[in-house]
Amino acid sequence: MIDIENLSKVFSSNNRDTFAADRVSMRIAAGETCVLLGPSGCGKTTILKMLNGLIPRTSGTIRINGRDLDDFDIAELRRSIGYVVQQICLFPHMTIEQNVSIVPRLLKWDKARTRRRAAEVLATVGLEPGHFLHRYPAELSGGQQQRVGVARAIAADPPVLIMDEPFGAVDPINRESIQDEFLAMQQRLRKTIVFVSHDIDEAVKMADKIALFRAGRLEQFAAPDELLAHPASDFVADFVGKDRELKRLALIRVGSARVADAPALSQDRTVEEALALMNAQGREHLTVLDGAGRPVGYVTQARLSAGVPAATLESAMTPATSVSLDDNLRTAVSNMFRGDIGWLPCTDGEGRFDGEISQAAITHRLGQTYRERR
Amino acid sequence: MDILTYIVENFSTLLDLTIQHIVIVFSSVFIAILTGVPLGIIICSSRIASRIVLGAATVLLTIPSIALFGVLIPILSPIGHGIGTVPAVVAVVLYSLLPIVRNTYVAISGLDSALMEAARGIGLRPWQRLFWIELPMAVPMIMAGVRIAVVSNIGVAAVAAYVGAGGLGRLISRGIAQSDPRQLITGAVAIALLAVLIDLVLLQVQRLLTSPGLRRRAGGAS
Repeated sequence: MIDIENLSKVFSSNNRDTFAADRVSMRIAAGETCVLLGPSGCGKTTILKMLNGLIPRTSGTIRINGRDLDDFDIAELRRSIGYVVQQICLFPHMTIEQNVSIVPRLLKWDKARTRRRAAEVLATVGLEPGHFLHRYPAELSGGQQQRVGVARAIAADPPVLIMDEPFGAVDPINRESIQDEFLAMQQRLRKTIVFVSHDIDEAVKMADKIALFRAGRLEQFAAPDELLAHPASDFVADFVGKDRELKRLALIRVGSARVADAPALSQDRTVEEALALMNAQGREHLTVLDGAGRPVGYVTQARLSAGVPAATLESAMTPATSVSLDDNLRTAVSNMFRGDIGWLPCTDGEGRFDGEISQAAITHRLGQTYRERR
Repeated sequence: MDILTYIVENFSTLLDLTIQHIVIVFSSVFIAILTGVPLGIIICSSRIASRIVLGAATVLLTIPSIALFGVLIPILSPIGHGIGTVPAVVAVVLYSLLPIVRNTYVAISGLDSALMEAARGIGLRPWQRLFWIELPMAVPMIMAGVRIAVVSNIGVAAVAAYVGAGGLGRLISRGIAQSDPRQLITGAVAIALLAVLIDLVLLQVQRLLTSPGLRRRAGGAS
């Protein structure tokens, strides 16, 4: 856990004081990812670097797991905080193994344990140890180097990670997949992470909590959905963007918005049976399933009533995509637009039909937070 | 033909003089490394100190070697070493300081500041940063300075024959004194060859001391 109280940093130049941090107070719970967000020059990087003493504080206190920063030996403190930087900064004269082993070496781990850990930690970030351990940074692509940067930070298994725009130097295509892998890794490792970003989409994706800064002041400190749905000020609303409701889509699981009791029929049933079921339930459409219960298509009342020259649903249906309950609403909406339909069948972990999601259900789910506030 | 005969007949003398020459240059450059590299590191922390030290070393280098020997004779005479090997070594040390101090300074002060901050941020103490990061990364540049020092001072050491230091310069001074072109040419060619050969050897040493990771980067290949 990281406790920040009344933290200030004043830079003086030409007799003018600039607040890079202005009485910032916040608490980051253990195992949480907190993204420090804001426009450039808002002080987010300064605050991050005060956490490991790279920038001295002007006033205020920082406590890490209850212990005041002043009570630490600074080098020892830094060894217990994994540090990832935007420029990656691997040491070019060291092999990947030496780069990753540097903090364990500083902590005087024995050689065998250090070597084991280097291989282990490379595998954790998705790099084949046998292939990479003995290479040099210059031989790796930008994305691979950034993975090594993360591996170096977590090598000594520190409880806290601080990351300064860690994926900023990676090209957009790789960034997406590195973010996904990092999220999956964090699911397992549950580190306390402080992460600087200027990208609202990245923050929404990675954060449990977002701290939004302007000119050294903490404008809002809240969960991403809270920040998007209830911006505390005009500045926050402007920063998160006019499409903030669309951004919220990425935060909500399909499973939490789907309609569970949607009708479905197996593909070997007849058109008459389908029409009867839709009439009975007052539905315009239903999902068609294969023998294993997986959605393969759909039929609509309008088309079946118009008369189709087919006996079973298998030949009468329109093929359809589906969406997993674990996907987010953004994926679901994207699939709907692609298929030009207003709903999608949902699937469980095994790919079997498990309810459906509709645009009306999504609207309802997004509006929930506003109804609760009223 | 005369020269070849001379070389064959005086081979052991030639070998002795070559070894003397190498010993003067290498022991002096060694002393210059031991003093120059730490000096180059220390002045990285102060802009004023770096200006003073690099300025003084540059002035030293502009003094012609024969003039420097002239100055050293009265200075070293009180301790009984106005002539001989000592002034030669002192002169070569002084001339070697500039390339070694300057290259150490440029290499270390030119290291990427983000990289050095990362080194601090992951918990390396100042000495660990120096020995694990700064010096290994500065090796190619420092060694380039050492090569310049060695090669240029092979010439300076030749002049040192005039203050009785020995080495291949003695062939040249005797060749001039005795109007003997055989000794003159043998000495001149031997000194030139020695400089080229030692530079090649030191280039290999530089490659061996440089991390493969830095070599690839310098080559720009991936």
